Amino acid sequence: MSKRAFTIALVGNPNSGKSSVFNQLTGLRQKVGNFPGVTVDKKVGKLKLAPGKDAILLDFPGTYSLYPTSMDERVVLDVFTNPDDPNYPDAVLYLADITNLEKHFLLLTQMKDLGLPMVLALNMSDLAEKQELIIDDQKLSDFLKMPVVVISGRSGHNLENLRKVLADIFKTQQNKSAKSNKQVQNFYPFSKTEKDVIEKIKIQFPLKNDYQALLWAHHSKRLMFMGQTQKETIQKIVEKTEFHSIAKQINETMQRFNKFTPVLQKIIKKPQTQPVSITDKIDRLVVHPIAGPIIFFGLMFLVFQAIFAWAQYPMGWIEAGFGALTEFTKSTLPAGWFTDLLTEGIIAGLGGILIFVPQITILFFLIAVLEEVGYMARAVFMFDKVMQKFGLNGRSVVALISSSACAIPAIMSTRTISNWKERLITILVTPLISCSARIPVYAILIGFVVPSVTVLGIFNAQGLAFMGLYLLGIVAALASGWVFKKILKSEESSFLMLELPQYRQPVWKNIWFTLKSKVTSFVVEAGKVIMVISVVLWFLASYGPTEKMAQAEATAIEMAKSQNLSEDKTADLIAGQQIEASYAGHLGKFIEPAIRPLGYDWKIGIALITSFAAREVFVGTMATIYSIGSVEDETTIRDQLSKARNPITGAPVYTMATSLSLLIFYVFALQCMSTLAVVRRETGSWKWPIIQFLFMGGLAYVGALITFQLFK
Amino acid sequence: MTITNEAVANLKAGNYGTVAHFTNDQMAGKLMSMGMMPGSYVEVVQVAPFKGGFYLKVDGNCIAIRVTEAANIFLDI
Repeated sequence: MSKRAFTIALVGNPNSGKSSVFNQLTGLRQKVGNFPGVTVDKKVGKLKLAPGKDAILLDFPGTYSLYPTSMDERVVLDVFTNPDDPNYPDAVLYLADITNLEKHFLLLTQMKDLGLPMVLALNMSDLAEKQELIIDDQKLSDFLKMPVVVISGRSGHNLENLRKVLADIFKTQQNKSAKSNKQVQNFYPFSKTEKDVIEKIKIQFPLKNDYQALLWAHHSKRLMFMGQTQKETIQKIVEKTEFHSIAKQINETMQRFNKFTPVLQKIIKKPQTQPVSITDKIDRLVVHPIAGPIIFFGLMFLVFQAIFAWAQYPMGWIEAGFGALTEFTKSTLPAGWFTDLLTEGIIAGLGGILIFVPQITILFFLIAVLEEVGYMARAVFMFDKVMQKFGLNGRSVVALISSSACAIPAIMSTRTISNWKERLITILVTPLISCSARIPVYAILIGFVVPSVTVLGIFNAQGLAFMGLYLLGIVAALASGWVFKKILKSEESSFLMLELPQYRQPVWKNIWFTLKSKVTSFVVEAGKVIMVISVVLWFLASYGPTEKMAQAEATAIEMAKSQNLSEDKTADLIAGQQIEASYAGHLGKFIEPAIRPLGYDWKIGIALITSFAAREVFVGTMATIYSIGSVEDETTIRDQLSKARNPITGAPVYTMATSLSLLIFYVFALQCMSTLAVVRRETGSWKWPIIQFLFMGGLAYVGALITFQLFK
Repeated sequence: MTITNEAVANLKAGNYGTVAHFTNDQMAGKLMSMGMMPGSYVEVVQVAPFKGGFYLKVDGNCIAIRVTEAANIFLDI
């Protein structure tokens, strides 16, 4: 094994300002990945300590203690109790908020007992100054027996000093031969039972550190790196020594607090009177039972408006850009399969990926601002109870609302939901909310069934139908959430203990890094899948049994000649005939028996297949099938559709029942490859996207079936 | 003035007191790790409609909990 780079772990409570410090220390040299097996963000960056001396800085999720209650916290425990973990650090940089030191000391002293070289950085020196806090960092350093540096992650104050301290540790560690977790004086004195358990575990396993052994005794059942036999051995030891985990945990916590609280009170000097903070003043309004929700929905309306309306412009440019690129490629390269693959498969796929970037960027920009400012935690507090009923989390509100613009960024935004079950349900039901891609489909079909008349004096009937479809999506999402809540089992106990941080000005650098990592991960990870599906769909729609394709083209040219059609119209006719002869056409005919009870013929079948790429493709495919591909006009498409007749019975294909059935189908069906790709990325396997596709498909099928049979 | 013992779940915005004890060990462990200890000064800042959630100020720290958790925290008032 090659020698690994010196790794420093950045550890601290949530809201200790870790991301600011991380960004300040590593700058652009950072990467965001996952901890193995879980979707918990792992940020890694290169930290320059001295010329030629680089270390790795690894940002761990915010944690309150080594007794975890969420997946984020479990990751920290798992790494720090397993010296063989590839992420096991050589040193720890512990970050604590200077304005509120006490609560940061529980995890600090726990980490200290793990015996790794450690530095304490007291963050937010700028706020401390404002609050007139005076702290004796030398005394604190003597008490903890580790270097203490006062810094500000926001302004960058004293970070150079911190770098020097870390470089010193690096040097001392390098000179030591082996990574030695030599037993230092423990901060927490073990009780007799604890000593007993530790000793017995250390006889069985080659552990150097006592506190690590104690944590094994507490958590063996849930440590991910541990094998079954090892777990059983530890369980036996625990039972034999009559070691009661929870009682011991509480005792340990109390003892630690009792030891550091009196010392801290001597070391920190606070001014006598604390003025009413700005946070208190803001919260009088922001979490007010009536004003609070109004403010929230106002903000969400802004978010919705931003994704929906503002993103239109850049999306238009991307679309136009790719259109031009397609044209250019087609006219430059010789006609043939390669050019087609390039334009209709690859360039179209690339366009399909990039088209989401404006919406993702805007949504994450706004969410990151709300999060940085400290508002998000308040929203969770206000909506927790309502969302609980549907198996969701207070944070799910944001995902549900933003998914009415697009489900992709909405699903990506669920990462902040720490309870896995609640996060999963949010991901599963989010695509049921009608997104903007459904609008073109709704528009065409509603035009068919609902006359544009005024109802009750002011309402447009078509507008009401639109609203009805949106409401149907919302009801379906909440109802499915409720069902999933009953079905899904979860070991994680669901509770909410959430810190409401002080309101702060956002750090723009942090927001920039968040945006960058979100957009890159979408383009790279989900992009791969979207690209593959796009090429497959292109192949299905443009290729078929060679003979039949040629025949289709010949028939079309013949027909065009006899009808004396223009060049454009001839091309349209060829396209229409060819898509029928293509594999997609065959597939459409193949599934016809299954979709006949919904009122669809094979032509609609083709459109259902191709619109799996994205719902709005439905309209384009219908235009191609009806040989009006070069006309991009809703009314024309609608006229053509209304003329379509069943070749055998002569009855119109697009009756009210068929159109209604299609509408219902599109409200429910997961007709979007990008959503599937993102769900796969966010849940880590194909299991959940497949389940989601099937349950939404089932809902769509049954819903459409009932609708058609009722209105037929 | 008499000291009464009351669960946070039964309090209203504006009430305050010091933590006397917890009735659920598991929740106690978590609450303590967030800095709420027996003896901590707790003020109820806001209660969401229908007891949807409790916004508490614990020794100057703001935290939000559910009614199920609030039922396990007893204050001396």
